[in-house]
Amino acid sequence: MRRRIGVSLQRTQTAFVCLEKDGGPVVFSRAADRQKSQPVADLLRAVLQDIPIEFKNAEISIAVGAGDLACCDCFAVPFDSEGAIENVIGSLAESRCAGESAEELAIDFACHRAGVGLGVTIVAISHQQLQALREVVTQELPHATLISLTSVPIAVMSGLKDQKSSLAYSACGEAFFSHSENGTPRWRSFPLDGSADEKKEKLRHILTASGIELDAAVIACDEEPIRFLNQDVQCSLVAALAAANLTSGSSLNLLRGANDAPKSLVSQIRKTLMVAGLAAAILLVVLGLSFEKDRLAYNQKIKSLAVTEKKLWGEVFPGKPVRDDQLSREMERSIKFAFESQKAGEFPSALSFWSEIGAAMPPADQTGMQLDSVQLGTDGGRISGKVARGTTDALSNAALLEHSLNNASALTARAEFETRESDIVVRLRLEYQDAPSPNSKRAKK
Amino acid sequence: MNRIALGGLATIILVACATVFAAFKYVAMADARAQMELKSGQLENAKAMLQKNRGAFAGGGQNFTPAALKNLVQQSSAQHGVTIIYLNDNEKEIGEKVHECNVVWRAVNVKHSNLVLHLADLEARAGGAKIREIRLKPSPFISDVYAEAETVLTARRATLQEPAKGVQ
Repeated sequence: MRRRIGVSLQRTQTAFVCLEKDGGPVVFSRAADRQKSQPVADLLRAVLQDIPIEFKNAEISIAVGAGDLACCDCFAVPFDSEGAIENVIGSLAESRCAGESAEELAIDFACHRAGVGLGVTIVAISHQQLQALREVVTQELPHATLISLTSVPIAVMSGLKDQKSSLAYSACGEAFFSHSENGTPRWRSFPLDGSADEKKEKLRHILTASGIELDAAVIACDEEPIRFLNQDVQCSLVAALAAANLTSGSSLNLLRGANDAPKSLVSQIRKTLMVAGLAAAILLVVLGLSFEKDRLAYNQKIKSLAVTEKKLWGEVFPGKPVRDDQLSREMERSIKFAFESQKAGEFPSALSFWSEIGAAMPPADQTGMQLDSVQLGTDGGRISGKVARGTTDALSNAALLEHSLNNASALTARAEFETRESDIVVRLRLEYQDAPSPNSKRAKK
Repeated sequence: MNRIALGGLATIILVACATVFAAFKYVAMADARAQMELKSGQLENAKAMLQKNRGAFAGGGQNFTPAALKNLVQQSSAQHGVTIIYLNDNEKEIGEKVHECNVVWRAVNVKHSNLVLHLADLEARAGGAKIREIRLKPSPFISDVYAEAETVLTARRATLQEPAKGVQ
């Protein structure tokens, strides 16, 4: 953690304090009188020349008296938002300055809730004066860092955040008093000269006029010590100590109002973000319209496909009511049905059986065949008839008949022969195999 | 609320609305595209099925009812000089999902050649129906003539679809 230097540049005196760290005890301090009409930059130069060498690279905070600033005020405005105040803060500051225009001012402000509207604490300095102070710091302490530049009352108020009692002190030609009003801290600062008693009397008078009980207030002057930031410090060093405990973002800081001050990330990219957002919105709308166009095209295609589907339906299922999106399914069902029907209709034909028998049978004249009856089914049948008796072998014709039938690829015949007078009665039992299996007789042949 | 904040808020709302608009349109487009692809695919599939299985659909095959089969038997018998003295039909379910339709007829004094031609003609014209039984009693007096010929013509079909009297 870097060392800290707090500098106060007030109406009749200047002071600085050196701290080893933020919130630490004062390790070195000095106060000096201010010459009349001495420019504040010269005053700062004189102060910085007295800084001990070991603090040359410290962080510096400067508190400037209200009289050396363009504006340091706290007032209520009827606006309801910080954004609205931000828009008119230049005008507000300008109207409270002696001669500077809004364009010439480095401004910082803070808002707090105050009744109907908002309370504004504003601090402003001319850019010229701000630049002069920064140059002095750069020249005198090139290794130090200027982290805060504010007014004395603002710096002191930031050191009184946790202090409940009212404080009134006068030092360095200025008087300051703070009190709490309805829980809101209030402050006043004004020039005050005179002896210590006169100053105290005047402070008491002002406190009484402001409705503050004197018993509850701390009143001190010049070299008298008061309790401030957990240490006893002379009134003339209060402002410098308060400045030393400031950080760059803890209170109003005029460095933020400088022309070259870095702006916050949000304010820097706000416009870019808005433009990017608008561009994105336009892009998304165009994209949406493009999707809509595609959707319409797809719908058109769907309609044309539906027409084709209806046409195909009429061709495939004439007379059957059209069912949307069901063509493919119906066709699959039909194919399945046709396949199953074909499978169910695959049985041997008795006519084929008969044809096989006719082809296998020897000529009737050769065997003297006379049919009595024929019964044929799909897988077998019976034939009964008579054949002529053979000359040498009585059953030769009957055997020839059986043998011939058995020679047919799809037939198996079992015959029963009976000799009756000059004829042989033959009873044939036939089996028919229309489609040959790999082990069947037909397949073996 | 100042103009900058209002502008920022308006921008955010605009972007959100545009996003929702684009998202809805995309979903609608994707839905339409999926429907189109599905329908297109189904139609392509249907066309391919029609090419491969034209015979399986109406118009590609014959549809016989028992009455039609009987009519066919009568026509064929008259054509081939077969005298029918008895003609009947019956239907039954055989096994699961198979429907059978039978036409039984008896002819007398029919020549062998005429009977064979008659039966062959029936099998050719009956759209898958087949002769299931043949009972013949040859004439003891005339050669190549059957005194009595009883025949059964059978058509079988699956019953996957709604029940119909037709035989496909």
